[in-house]
Amino acid sequence: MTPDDECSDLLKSLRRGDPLALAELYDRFAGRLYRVALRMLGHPAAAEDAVQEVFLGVLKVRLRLGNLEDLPAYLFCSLRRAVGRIQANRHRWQAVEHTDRENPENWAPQATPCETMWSDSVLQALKRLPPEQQEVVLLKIEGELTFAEIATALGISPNTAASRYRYALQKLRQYLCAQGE
Amino acid sequence: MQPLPDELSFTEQLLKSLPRATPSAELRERILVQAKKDLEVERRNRQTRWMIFGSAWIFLVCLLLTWTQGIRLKAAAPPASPADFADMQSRGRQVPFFRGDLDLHETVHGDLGIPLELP
Repeated sequence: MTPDDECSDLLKSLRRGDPLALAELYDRFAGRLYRVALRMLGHPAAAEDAVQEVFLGVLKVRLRLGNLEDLPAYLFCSLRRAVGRIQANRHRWQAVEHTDRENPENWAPQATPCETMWSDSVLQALKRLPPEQQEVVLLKIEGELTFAEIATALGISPNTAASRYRYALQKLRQYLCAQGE
Repeated sequence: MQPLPDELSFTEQLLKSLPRATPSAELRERILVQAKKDLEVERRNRQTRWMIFGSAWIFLVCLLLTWTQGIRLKAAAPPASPADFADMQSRGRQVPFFRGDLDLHETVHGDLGIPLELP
């Protein structure tokens, strides 16, 4: 059975409202979605909220999904929207809450304990990329998507996705070389 | 797609070697519990929708029956003519004669003051 057939079967079960199908969908995609969300939002709790929103959203619109051809691209596209909503809310909260104004690091990316000095400089370089290139890199590396899937998720052509990725790698290399000197 | 040059492949490997975070174990449980709740709410909403739909149908059927039976009755009973009306009035006047507890004198000269019309 090909991955496409598996996704199609999974969608059929999901359409029937089978909670086991959602569990299977979670087991298959949650890790990748979480990593992308974490890199975009920089906060584990916010990343978990985004992932939860994606899965519950899929459950809600399951009858309207029809014959979805690219399930991973759809999930990552939903994740992008969820991340956008959370970022918008975060800005609203920061504008309202006094504590957040005083401590802007509250929502700053948190490094996991196992992150080394080297990975820290890679992450710093990653944050300096333009948003559209950063997004492609995250979807490719953390989301493990193909260029075709990235193109579907972002609404661009696969060639554009590939060239953004290449430019991003070139820039990252330049940043890292500059840091090494 | 063209393969990446060596220096870019190395950068790609660097990115791939970044530590991989995993979602907490509670997240799965939280999502599945919430999904079950959402499905239950959805099922109840669907039931309510069907009940409203069924009630609306029953009401419409009753309305249709009342309407059609009204039409049927109108069609079965022809409208009253002026002659029928006069006949009804004269019958109305004769009604007291059928009351057993009134005598003839009382009927003719009583409070009713209805003149005696013998056939």
